[in-house]
Amino acid sequence: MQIDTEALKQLVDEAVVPFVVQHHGTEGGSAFRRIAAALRKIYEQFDPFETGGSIVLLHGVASLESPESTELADITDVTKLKQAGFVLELTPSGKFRRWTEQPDLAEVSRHAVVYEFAEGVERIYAGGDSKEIPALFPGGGSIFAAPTFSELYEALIYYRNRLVRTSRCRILKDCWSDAGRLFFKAKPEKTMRRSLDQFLFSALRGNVEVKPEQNVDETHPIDIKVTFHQLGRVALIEIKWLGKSRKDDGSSASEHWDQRARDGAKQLADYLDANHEYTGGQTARGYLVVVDGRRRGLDGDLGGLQAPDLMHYVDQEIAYDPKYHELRTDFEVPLRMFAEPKQ
Amino acid sequence: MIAGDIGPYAWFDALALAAHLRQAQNDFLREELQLLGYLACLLSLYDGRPTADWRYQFASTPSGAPFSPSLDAAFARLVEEGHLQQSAELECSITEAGADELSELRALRMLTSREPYLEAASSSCLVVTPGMIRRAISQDPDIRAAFDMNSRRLLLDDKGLSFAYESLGVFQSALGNASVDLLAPALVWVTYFCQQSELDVS
Repeated sequence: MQIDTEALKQLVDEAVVPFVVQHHGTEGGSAFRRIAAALRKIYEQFDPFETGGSIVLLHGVASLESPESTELADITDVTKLKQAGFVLELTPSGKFRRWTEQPDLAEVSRHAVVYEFAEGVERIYAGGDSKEIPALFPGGGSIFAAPTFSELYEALIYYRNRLVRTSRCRILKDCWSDAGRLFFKAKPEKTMRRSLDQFLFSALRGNVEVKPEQNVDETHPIDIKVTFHQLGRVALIEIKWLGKSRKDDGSSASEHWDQRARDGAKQLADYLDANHEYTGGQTARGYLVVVDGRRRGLDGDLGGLQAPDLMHYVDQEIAYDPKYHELRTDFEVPLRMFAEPKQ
Repeated sequence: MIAGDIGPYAWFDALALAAHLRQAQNDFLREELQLLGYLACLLSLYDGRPTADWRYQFASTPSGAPFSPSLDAAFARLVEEGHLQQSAELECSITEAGADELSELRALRMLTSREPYLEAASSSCLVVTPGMIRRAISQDPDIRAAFDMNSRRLLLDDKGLSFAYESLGVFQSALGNASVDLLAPALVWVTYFCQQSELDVS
């Protein structure tokens, strides 16, 4: 296996720890660790996307002179401050001091490592310079708030509510042909599979292997296979999408409606049977994920749709017939994940 | 007390990883200790230490993960002796007795020289999830081969070691002076191999 030196160089250029170390040495690295640990605790209290202002957390190196500040009694007090945003200094003794004035972050970073979350972007300041923190976790949001799950179904519910609904996932964003999230690009299924694969392997804990496109018999690949080695269990995940897709030139590519989800359910049931036979009785459970981008009255004109049309399908579940999830014990309730348009 | 048949190194590593993980996440799972132990071992190679210095070996399992019987045995004994605790949900953490034991062991230089690698591996969990570390490690050619053939094989043996040195050398060149903090190569290494796996799926 050859290392792609160009890709590696770009990663190093974007990486935060080398940047902090370059400016503040190993003391900067220690400050970064303390900031990261504190942020994980802070973001257990609230999602940074909920805040109205910016969030700043800094840790001094060398001789930081702190301005007027008040000490927080407990880290949970940050929830009271989240609406307006805040500037907190983490002291060497582990106390949190709230600065009353918004400082010049670049200037402060000459004597501190400074973290900022503002308008959905995370930055690190050090030595008077700053760098955007790359989004390592596919789910977007803070890299210090990546969720982890022991249960697959819980992870899928999170994926539906937090990543698909607003297309917050950095990979899933690329499925859309237009900024308003009305049409998918042609053949979006590969991107959807990549999104869910990346999310699941990042988020699932334990001795779990997540593999895309694994054969259930000689010829048929399931979109994602999750193997829980410790438990001797396997999950087969089939992904379908509903809505309309367009080619790069704007012409129509394909469209899928409710029947596509029903076909997906039949396909998954067949895959479960094939897998059972092919593996000599392996215990598997089927999960149907339906990414729903349906919009009422959508044609080539993007301008004419009103809010009721855009959200018409938000609560419109698919009528499955047969209902495999009721007929079979190895078939989980299908998960329709409505992807909202950008309004 | 260090259990004789397990050896002091795996015993110390399990305790030190557990202690440092307390900063990064609230708890850990038994198999996460294996992942981070292996990552720490790679970091020691990265830092120019010979593989024999690690004093215990890892094998690749058919599930595509590294596994050290010594580290696992140390974990089990530490739980038995109350230095680590494991909940009904299998979430683990270090106890006060474990922290005391670790403090005593830190007086031994042969053990504390390992701690920077264990610390950097554990601290990587401040930024990346255990799942991401697992995915990155699973890109290792030896581990991939074991997974594909549904077999076990020793990791970092002659062939695996030559690949490890070669690839880690490329990382050393790219990172330069930033390697003074081992968290830098740990995170760049995990991110690089996760990114490569994403390209495989594309």
